[in-house]
Amino acid sequence: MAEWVTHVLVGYALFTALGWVVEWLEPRWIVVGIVGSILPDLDRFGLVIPGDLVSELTGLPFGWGGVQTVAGIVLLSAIGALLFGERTHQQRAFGLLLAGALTHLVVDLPQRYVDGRMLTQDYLFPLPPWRPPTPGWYVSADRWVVVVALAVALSVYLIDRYRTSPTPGATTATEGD
Amino acid sequence: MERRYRIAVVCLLLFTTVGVCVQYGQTDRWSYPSADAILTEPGTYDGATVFLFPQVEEIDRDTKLITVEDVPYRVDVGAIDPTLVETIKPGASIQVYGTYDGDSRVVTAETVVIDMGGLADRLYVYVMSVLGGLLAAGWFLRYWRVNWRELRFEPRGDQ
Repeated sequence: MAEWVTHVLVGYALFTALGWVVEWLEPRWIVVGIVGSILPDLDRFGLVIPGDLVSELTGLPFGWGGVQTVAGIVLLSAIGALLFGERTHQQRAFGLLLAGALTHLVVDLPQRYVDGRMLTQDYLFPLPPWRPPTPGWYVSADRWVVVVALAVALSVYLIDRYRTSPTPGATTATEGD
Repeated sequence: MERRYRIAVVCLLLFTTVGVCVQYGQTDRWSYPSADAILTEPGTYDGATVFLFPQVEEIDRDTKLITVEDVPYRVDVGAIDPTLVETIKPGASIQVYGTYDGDSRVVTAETVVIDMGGLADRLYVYVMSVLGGLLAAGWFLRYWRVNWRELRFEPRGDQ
């Protein structure tokens, strides 16, 4: 899977571009989408508290991978949304966290796997497992992935700056004029 | 929504998330036999096609056999492109697709993908992930602050 800098940059680029057409999607909401883009990797709690250990202590089968599924990201997005106070903020946060989490899963899909198929059977849980063919574009340690993400993010940043910069020669009307 | 109701709903959602993780943990959605399965029931899986994610302990360049960390099966990469095999180092994380021999506990690889070549690749992924996490957190906190009393995020500055 791609590392987090790539996910953050892809999230930035996507939500900044979306902000060109969605009026309320300004920087403070773009960053919510960016946080969403790393939500699915909360399964890395398993590095600190292994799932096998949880299973042993509780007697229940437990897999941290559950948070990286369709069901998991919907629940995590809802939890995140409730950490905002106002109803409008909660609705926006839920949508952006979920969209960000979905971008994460999409970015992680086209990796190289030995049998030529994507590892979607886990992401789709609890939907039926389905593994379409993968284009096999990269593996986790490929450096070029973050370079491409950086180039895209930089391009979006420059376009965004150009769009929001004042037109040269324009005058600003003042009160009383 | 009042704080206590939000906390109650968050707790309910957390409990549900744990439930999803429990259900996920007991559901086998992988269509290939696991490393545990092929080792505990070698007769059952003799001749089976396997897809495994071993970590390389050592590689014998003469016999083209890879010894895998922590599990007693080996991988025969004799049929794999030699230039690819040359790049497999101890400590590498690889994917192996091939046929399992239950008698010798050897997987004859048809395809190999190197996920991480070794320590340098592993460090790269970890460092970049830590950086990405710090970037996301710092960026978020630039626009939002935590109201600890109400347990919620509030926008910094003017709304």
